[in-house]
Amino acid sequence: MEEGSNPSGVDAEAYRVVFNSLKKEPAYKLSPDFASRVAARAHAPAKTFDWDKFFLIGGMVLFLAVLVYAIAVTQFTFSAGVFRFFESYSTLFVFGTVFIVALHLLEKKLLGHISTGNNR
Amino acid sequence: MNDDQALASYVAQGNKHAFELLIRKHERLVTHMVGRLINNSEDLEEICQDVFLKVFEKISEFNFQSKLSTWIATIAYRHAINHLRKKKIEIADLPADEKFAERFIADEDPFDAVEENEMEALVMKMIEKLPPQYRAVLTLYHLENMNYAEIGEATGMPDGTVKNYLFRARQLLKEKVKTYLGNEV
Repeated sequence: MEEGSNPSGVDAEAYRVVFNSLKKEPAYKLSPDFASRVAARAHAPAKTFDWDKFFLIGGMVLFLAVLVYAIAVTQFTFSAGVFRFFESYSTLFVFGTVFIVALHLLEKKLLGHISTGNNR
Repeated sequence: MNDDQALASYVAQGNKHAFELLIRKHERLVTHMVGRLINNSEDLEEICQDVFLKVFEKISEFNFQSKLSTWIATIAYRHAINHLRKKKIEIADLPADEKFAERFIADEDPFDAVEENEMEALVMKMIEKLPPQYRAVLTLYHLENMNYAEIGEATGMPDGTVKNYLFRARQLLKEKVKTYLGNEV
């Protein structure tokens, strides 16, 4: 059939099953209100103000302002307090930071691989 | 002006009811195309929605060089393929890979004799295991009754490739079905 020949026997029967199945409607279904929901979404007025962006930028500006204020008020220097302690263990802290970042990256990669079901 | 042109022009003018009508008219095509390619019912509705929102966004650029359904199928195909890429599902250029055919046919031992309707359900499962390009051409040809040129336009494949994929996909399915039928006899 595929090569212009006329299949017979099991070949013909197998092709018959294949062609019948290919004509069969798959069972994928959308919700009954799909069309009206999508049409409403397409015609929804554009967002005039992005509150998420507002809070993100606002938060960052506020954080910087408080940081500058704190530095000014406490007359902060890196040789003070807890930073002197960090100085004696600098290698350990660098290693710890690199280890934690690497662990997160590895976890993200492995979990991403599993969740996509990409096991081919 | 034919029906599709009138409908597209109403949609482009922002007519909500016309867009709803367009969705109803083509949701079967988009659902088949996306559903067959992504094999994941959880993402189906969201991707179909994105397809129609893209149709809405781009409809004023549609120039009627092709049928509206072919143009919508193109958008659906690209969305589904992009989704697969995002999920890091392999979309290889199709194989001169004879090993794929061997693996596909040999995969899973045929079990005891199956009834006709069970066999059709099995073929549906087999289709899911075919490469996405094969699934796309099979769907557009057998379910949407598109011709080679229209499928080529929707998927960006040359006509010869469309014919070749159809041939190979059906042959793979036939060989696989034969292993079950052989077991029945």
